[in-house]
Amino acid sequence: MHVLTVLLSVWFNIGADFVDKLIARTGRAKDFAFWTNVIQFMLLLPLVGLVTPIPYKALALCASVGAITAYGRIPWYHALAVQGQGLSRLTPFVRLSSIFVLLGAIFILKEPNSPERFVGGGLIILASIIVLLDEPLTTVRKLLETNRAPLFAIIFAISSSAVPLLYKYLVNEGLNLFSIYFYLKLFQATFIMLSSSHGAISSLHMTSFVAFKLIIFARILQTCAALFYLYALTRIDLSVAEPIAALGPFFIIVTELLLRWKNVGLDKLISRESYSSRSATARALSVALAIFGLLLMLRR
Amino acid sequence: MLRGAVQRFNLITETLPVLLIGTLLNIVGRYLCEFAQSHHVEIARFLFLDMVGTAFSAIVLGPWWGAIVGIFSATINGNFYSNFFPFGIVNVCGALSWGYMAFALRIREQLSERPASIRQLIRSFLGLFLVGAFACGLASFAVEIVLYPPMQRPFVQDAWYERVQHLLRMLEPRLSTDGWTLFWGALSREFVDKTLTVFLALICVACFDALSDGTRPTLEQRIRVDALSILCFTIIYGAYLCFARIFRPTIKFTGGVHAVDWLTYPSIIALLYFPLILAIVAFFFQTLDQSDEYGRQVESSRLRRRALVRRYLTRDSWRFFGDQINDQVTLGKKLYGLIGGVAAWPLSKITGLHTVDFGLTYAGAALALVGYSFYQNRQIIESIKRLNADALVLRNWFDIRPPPKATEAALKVFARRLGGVSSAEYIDPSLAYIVVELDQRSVVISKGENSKQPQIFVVGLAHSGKLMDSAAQALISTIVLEIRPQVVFAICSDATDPSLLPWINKVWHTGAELYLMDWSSAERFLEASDRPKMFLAYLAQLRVSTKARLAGGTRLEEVEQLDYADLARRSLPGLSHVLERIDSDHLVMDLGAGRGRHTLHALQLGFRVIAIERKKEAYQDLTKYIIDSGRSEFATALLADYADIDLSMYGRPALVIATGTLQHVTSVLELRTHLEKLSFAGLERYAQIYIEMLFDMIFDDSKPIDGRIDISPDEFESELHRFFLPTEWQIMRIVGPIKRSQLFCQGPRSFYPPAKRIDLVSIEYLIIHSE
Repeated sequence: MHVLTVLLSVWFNIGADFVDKLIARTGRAKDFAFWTNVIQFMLLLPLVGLVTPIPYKALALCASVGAITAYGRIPWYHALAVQGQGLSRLTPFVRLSSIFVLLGAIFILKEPNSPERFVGGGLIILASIIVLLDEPLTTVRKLLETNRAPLFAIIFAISSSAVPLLYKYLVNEGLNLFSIYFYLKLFQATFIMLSSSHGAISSLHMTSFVAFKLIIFARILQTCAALFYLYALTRIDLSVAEPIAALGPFFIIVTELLLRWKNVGLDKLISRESYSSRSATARALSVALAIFGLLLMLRR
Repeated sequence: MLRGAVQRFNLITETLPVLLIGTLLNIVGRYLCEFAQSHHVEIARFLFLDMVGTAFSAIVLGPWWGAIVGIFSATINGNFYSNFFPFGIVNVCGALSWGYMAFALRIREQLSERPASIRQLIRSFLGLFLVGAFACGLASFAVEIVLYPPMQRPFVQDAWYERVQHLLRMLEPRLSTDGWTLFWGALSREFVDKTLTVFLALICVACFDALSDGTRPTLEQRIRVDALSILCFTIIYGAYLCFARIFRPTIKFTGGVHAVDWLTYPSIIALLYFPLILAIVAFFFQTLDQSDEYGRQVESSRLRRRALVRRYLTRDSWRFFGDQINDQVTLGKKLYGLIGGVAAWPLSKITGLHTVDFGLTYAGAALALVGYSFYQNRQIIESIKRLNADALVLRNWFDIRPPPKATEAALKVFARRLGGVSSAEYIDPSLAYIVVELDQRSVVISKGENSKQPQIFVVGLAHSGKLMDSAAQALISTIVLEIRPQVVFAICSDATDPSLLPWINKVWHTGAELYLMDWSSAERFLEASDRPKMFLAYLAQLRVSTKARLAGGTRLEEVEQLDYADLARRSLPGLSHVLERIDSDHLVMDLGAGRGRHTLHALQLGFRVIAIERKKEAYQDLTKYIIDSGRSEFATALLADYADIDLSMYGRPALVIATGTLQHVTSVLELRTHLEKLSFAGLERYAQIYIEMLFDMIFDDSKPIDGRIDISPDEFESELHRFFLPTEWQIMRIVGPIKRSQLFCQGPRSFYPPAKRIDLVSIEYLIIHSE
């Protein structure tokens, strides 16, 4: 039952990613990042009673990570907006965040490391390189042009890797996880509001309203996913939940294949050309390596 | 094509004043009630009166704006009264029920947009009272049943609930349990309170004037709300929750055994999520957007209202101290008075000023401020309505087929606007005129500089084809000599004709100031005549420009290399007038844009512009100038013949410009195709089409050889009538016919000329989609 809850949360997250992909080209990445951060925070507000005060040092850390992750969403929307880049192509790059978390854990939090973790990290890097080479390599310029989206995804991965490190560090300091999460969301919303609220609010009139509705729908999905996952964690071990969650990239590739088979969303969700036999093989291999690498890294 | 969100009301001029007034009413209502309770006024024991402003805002602006007032005043009041915060939910539920009910019953339309009748007041009262009392009763019951058990407070405690239980025991013993008593008790208290609340709110609504939306929605359309109100609500609601967490994390009701951390209870969290869930549902299924006809109508109506109010409020050069104070206290851009009124209450608490004396003084001052805001609002709305009605009379006179008595009506409007004592209307075949003697009572003179001497003004309307022909000129010269007026306003469509300058000069030398006014100038007269000082400033401006014209100084200099600003300055004055009176959030479509004089002017004013030009040379200049203007992100330039493309792909413009394009057509059939295209382009509500048509063109003393149509103005106007039916459109000839001779020896100006000298007759038409 609780395994199903974890699976449900994975699917909710995938659904949110596909919705984001669907709308990414209809507006400006900065505006989407604004609404994403603000809405996620709004959805948390009724839980404000569960938040406890935290020390100033922790607040400052939350503010720094909040700023990095709030703006880190902008390149993610840029990546999604690049035509011809299916989600499955971006997933291995997003998974690079695990490597940055690993490096942070070792060098910043001074956690012990193990050979399996390094092998796992190496496999994820290999997975990313394989995806980069799914198109025949002609010139460096062509390579950079075709891989603009992965570059954006890597920036997003770097920014998002700061979050687990923050959680781990502050929980080790004895702080309440939900409070940290709340303050992080608060600062994300504050920073993005300070920098881009005017443009984002004016964009309400300019951006397709359907896209705006879909953004909110995706955020509701994401918040539900987070709540389901947290609920599942109260009943099952992290060592069970995480490997299930790691299947996400595999589900994405399956979904894309299904969409292609059904001839749905070819222009917006996946590109018509993106499933040549070479790229399909590269993507499947890369996803398999990324999942395997992730499992190795999570092994205790 | 735009498919963005739609706002029902303008934020600064329509929404914010109502929100602030609503908040003040809530604060004062609650304080006065508390004051009366502390002085043992019996009836006050059963009242809260903290939702009068919520109801008022919900009725005037809609459910979610009402909820914002409710939750905002709950945030303020929550810091004054110990158990107030949790009942913010009641305020939200009340606002939503009143707002939706008011929209469904069109109460704003019946009470605020036109004079209210007693019957409508009673009908509105019954509907709002029932729905509000039920919604608030249920919400109040939900809060109490969730919070009483943790703080170990009995369900039945005070005199009211004991009486209710006693009554229930007599009527229906099965319903007299503590739980049921709490339910019926909460409901009955709300019924008592909401009777007075709704009554007071409706009185406020009836006293509050508003401009009409002008749409005729179905029931389903009426209850649709704007996304911005929902968004603002979620933000204010978030602030409310944060304030509750910071300032009142624990709460203990009277009669409770111990205080509770109310925000941590799952049932309370579920209750707190309730308004958010409603907001999400409303957002997904009930919001207005531009993808449907009704959404677009609401949007264009809002932008039109904004343009009307701005036209009244924001003439910075004509603003005067008294007017600014009025606007800034109550309406307009700043609202300092209302904002200060709301801020003073919590500040008094923070600074420790909060005494009984302060409270009563504050309540009195706040109510006075609210009353003054209502008065100011009424003044402005009535002025706008009057100006609209008078502008319509003027438009009727400029119509190419004016209605009967249009001349008399226009003369009466001008005489009324000037004030003083006016003569009867004299209608001559060449000129209709009226003589106005201004005295101390008149609008213009009463506060002006030369206030002692009575002055005589003459207003004349050129009667023969709206042209200042020789007969009309002779009549005006005679009037000037016989009546000796100080000022003569002569309204005609050829006011800018240079051939009239010698005659104007002659009249000026007799001692009278003669001002020839075309449609745009006459409309500015109407706008300015609302306030004496504004009118004097307008008159001074008119004097300066006429003198400059007589001295030959208003012609634009011929420069070899035009920059984008030079080109924008060359836009037609009539068109500039139209552009300046449309809200710049609108789209403008410039068909046959040439080198872009009108496109650039519209861009400078902040519009989004679609500019279409078919000649490559001109198109290249157009794109260059657009880039130079620094506003290229707001412009789309297309190299095409507008007759060949589907204009609806690019959105629905509020103004379609077709200047100097229609004379290129080669046949009546082609002309009809173009006019049909224009009528489809102007489908937007209140859309305007500006046409400049050139007739009898001669290129370097010979007729054009490119096969262009040879059509007379009368034939052209008949064709206009064929495609712009009088039931839906109003066609005005606002400038011309004026004979012009243009020299292009120094090369192209706003377009590439086919000859070095062009002689032509130009007429400018403004076609307006009827209201």
